[in-house]
Amino acid sequence: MSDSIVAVLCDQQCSSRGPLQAANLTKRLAKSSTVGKLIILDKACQDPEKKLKNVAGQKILFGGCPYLEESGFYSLAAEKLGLGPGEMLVTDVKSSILDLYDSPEAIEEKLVGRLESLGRLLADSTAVKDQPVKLKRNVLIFGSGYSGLKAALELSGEKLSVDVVETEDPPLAPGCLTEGLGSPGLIEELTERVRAGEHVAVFPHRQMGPIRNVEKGFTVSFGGGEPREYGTVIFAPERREAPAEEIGAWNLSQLYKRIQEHQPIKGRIVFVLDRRSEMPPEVIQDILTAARVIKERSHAEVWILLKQIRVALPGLQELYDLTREMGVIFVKYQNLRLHNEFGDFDIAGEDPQTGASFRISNPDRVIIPGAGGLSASALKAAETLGLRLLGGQYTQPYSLWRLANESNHPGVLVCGSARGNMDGDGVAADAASMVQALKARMNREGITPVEHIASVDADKCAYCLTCVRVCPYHAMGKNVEERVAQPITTACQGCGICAAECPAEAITLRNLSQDSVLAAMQAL
Amino acid sequence: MSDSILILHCAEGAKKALARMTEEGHRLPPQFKTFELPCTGSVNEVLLMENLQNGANGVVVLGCRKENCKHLDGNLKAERKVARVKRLLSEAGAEGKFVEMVFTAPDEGKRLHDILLGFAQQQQTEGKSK
Repeated sequence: MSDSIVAVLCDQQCSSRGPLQAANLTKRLAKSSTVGKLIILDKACQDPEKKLKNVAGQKILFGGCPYLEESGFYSLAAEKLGLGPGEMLVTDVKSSILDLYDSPEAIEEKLVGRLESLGRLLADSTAVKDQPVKLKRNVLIFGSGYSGLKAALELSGEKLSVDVVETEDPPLAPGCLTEGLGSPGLIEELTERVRAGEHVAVFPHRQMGPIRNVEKGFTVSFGGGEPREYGTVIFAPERREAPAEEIGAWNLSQLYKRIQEHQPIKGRIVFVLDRRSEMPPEVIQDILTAARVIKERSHAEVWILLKQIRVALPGLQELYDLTREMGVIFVKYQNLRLHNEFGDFDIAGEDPQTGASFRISNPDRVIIPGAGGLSASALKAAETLGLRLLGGQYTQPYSLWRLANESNHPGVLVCGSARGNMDGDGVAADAASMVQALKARMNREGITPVEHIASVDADKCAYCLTCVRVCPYHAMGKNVEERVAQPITTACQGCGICAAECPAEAITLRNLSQDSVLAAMQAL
Repeated sequence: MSDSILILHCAEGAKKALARMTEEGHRLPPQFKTFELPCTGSVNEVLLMENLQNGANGVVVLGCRKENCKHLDGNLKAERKVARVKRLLSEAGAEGKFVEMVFTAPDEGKRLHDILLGFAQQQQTEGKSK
């Protein structure tokens, strides 16, 4: 049998953790049809270079203790013998860690069974082998705000063709994009550079057709024209505050708009901060700047009620001192109560340090920052892209902060303020790290599909499209002419959910079919 | 395989939890066997029932914490299937604890060990399949 496996086993004399009794094993494995040649390495983890000289074969199954991996034996073996990822399988006593505590006979029996089942899997895997898929070197960006444009400009220097979609119509018109007050002029500068540049095209959102996963990335058509192919999509939507619940209260966006439009803000202005959650220092900076601007322009009486202030940003302490000198009143509060009775509006609370209570009667304007979230158009775009949303806030349940820029949909990267409040430098760093992730995806060698990729048996498929519905990655496409489901290999992540849900049992995972799983379980 | 308890664990958090459990020195009795799947979402009713039919005393599906599934909600899909198998078994009149869904985080070695031992304990007291 030319496809026979050469098994290399460590006899683990060095370790007391599960001795393998190599001599007995040799006898039993000699009967196994899948294993052609058996080599026993004595203390393989010691001086592996010398030991590997004795080993040669097309497909090799290594077996040993956890120390083999720790000592880099497997990677060294792959390098020395020129073995690719599909040509080397590793079974060791730790792949079922509980084996370590079995009796030597039990370990031996299991290992024989596992060798046979792995031999079958290996025979399967040699049948299907993928060439890497080269993705189109085009990038589509949703949103022409600061993060979107920053990413577009960084990428246009990387010889990628970059298109941007913007909901504001016409896009890139002066004043159509709002920005925080902390560092004005940032977006203006970027917009100028995009207008002057040649590599970035901006399309209005209304012209955009549906976005589809295809083998080489995504396709989108604009204005009913030919579909354009993209290798990856960057999602950089606007973050918009929910309106404040209390009647007559403004949220920060409403306040900033009025300041930017030079509308008069007079009388007694009360900011109520930290009411729902702690304020990030970036937002505090914007608020202090707004308070300073109000004080400069009018004789307003400005109160800032807050629970605590963190001066974690450079320059924030100076801004805080400056606003205090200008007469802004800072009050720490607890047990805050807002009364709105018969047209009289009162704010009452207590100072946690002195215990004294305070009351502000009939303020002219109350400003309560609302909870941040994605704007309606961003929600729509996220839906189109197949991103899951939780509470309208983040594009991935709980985890977007931790997983840097990767979304739950392969090829869709998330960037900018949709991931939380960030200042200008934060967004720039975010865009830079995303460019790194994008380069890894769009390297010139292409991307190789994952090992356990789904495949559909066309004869069994009933075209019920359950798989299309359950796939978390939108990696199952439809072949409308032949009425059969068709996996998109570059998007498939091999989780096996479709195979488990398919009522016709038409989907199998490559190298991990239901039969081989059951056989391997039997071998345990 | 007979008289064993099969642990079907995912290749992400649950695998790490099992490794952590061993690292911490909590050993499981030899009747526990483990099998790795890409995600617990790839478990279905057929797979669970076949294993019970083949002589496994019980099957524990071990997935990541509810909101931490790498594949979004594979563990919740598995939970639904386990619940369905439980219902089918009780409708068929099989008394006892045969299948269980367990959610675990990678750092919960001790807790996981307690849960698994508890499962084995219940198995012994409530009788076996077949």
